[in-house]
Amino acid sequence: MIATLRYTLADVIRSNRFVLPLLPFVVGLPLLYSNQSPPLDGYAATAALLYPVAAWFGVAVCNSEDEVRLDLTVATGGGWLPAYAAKLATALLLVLVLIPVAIAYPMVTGAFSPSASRGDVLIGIAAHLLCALPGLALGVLFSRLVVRRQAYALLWLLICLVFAVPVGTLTSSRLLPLRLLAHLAPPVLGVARALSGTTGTSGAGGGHSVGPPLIPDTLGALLFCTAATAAFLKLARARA
Amino acid sequence: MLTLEHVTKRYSRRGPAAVADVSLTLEPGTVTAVVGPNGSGKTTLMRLIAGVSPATDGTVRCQARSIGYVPERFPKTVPFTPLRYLEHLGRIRGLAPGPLEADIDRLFLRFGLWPFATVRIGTLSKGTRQKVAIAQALLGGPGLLILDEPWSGLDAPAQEALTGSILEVAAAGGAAVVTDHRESVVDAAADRICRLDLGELVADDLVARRRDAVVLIEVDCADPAGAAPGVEPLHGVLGVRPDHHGLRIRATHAASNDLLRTLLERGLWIRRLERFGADVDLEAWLEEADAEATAEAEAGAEAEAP
Repeated sequence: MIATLRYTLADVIRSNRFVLPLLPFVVGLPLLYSNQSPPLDGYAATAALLYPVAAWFGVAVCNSEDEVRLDLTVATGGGWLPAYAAKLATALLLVLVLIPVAIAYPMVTGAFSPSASRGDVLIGIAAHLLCALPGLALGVLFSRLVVRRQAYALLWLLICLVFAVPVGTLTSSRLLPLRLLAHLAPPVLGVARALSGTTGTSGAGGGHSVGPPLIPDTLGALLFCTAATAAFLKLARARA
Repeated sequence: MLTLEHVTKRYSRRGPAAVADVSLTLEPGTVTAVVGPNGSGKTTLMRLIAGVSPATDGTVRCQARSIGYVPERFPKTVPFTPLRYLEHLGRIRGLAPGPLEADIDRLFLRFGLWPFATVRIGTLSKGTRQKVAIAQALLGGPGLLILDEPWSGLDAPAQEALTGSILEVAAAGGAAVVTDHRESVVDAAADRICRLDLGELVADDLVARRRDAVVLIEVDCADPAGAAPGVEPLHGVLGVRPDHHGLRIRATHAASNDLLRTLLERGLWIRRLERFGADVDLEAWLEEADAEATAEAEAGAEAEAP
């Protein structure tokens, strides 16, 4: 499994598949911090940026090997699960590398006013995970491993990425199915609302507590990621 | 080694079956050839056997410890050099770095890949890429070797090396399955030929093993009786009979190339070379031929006498 992971990572890096999804992140980060902002406002924005970027990473990593080469990796590794799991793990690893960058960048460049406390950083990390992981889980579902015709798949991925955002705000809907769906949807807006409007945990009594509103979002995101990963493995296997 | 039971594969729910109700067992130590025209389902069957594609219906059971798979066409998009690619696949196969390095060296030598070892695979010619595909499948001596049209694009030495490698896997107790649309090519190595047509297994024949065949080599030499003891201990020799002009040597087909080389190096002239099936009792056949020749000679002598 470790060997398959190393191979997949080397493949993505040597084939430069990581470059395109990295671009919006590299360009977006300085743009978002062009003005000084409170720590949690800044983190809310970069967490939202990471949501489509992670989805793109999911697609790029899964599409890196062509079909024949994937056949070889599967046959050599003695089963399909190590090969597919390595793809998920590689995409996850690359996305996880971006989170410390997004957290540290404004602190290093001095873009925060007031400066971030340890509590802000922890909330920032949680916020990035809450946006990036569902984005990644959604992305791999539209990779070539699941959907053969990539032109359609990428269009549908874009539609799903965009429409999942407002769906996530329907948490106070009167209809139970909509409420459940809202909790499952990637909590991009939920995170943004929870984080913005606060002056940070260091603010002199001005901030409100961020933790409690994020708990249902966290549970929903975990459930969504688990379901999407299971669906990915099942659909990708069926399509082989 | 591997059992397919009533296996069917459809790529879409209502589409035609690419492989329809195929049952097949690959025994250890055998080479099975799958032949058939284009679109007969050979590649799909290979992917089912390799476990990379799940069957729509039926079961595939595999007991091989490791699988070597050569796809029909090896892609150009590999972003590695042959050396790095084989290192990665060897590690995925679970080989330790030391044995893996030795194995890569052996395979690169055998298929003449060292000059291309550090060239990116995408820039290699089709034949060289095919050699890389074959070398990766042979890493660590696979228990089950699956080759989809492996001879296409290979030069003559590589073809010979490939045939030798297939036979080695079978000799080590593994099973090999190979497809080709030219039956003459697979005939060289196969114990068994399965014929596919429109996804159905239409014939499954055991063939006389060519590698169990024997050859008769007749050589000219000045002192047949003196030369015979020198030839008898050579590898692959089954028996030696001196005659008036030289020696008649029975040998295994597998060792015949090396044996011929040795005979030529010793300054012997090859007078006749013939291959016989494993079912022919060459010893008896030679005795019969001798008796006939003696009878003819006697008849000739009698005719000349008056």
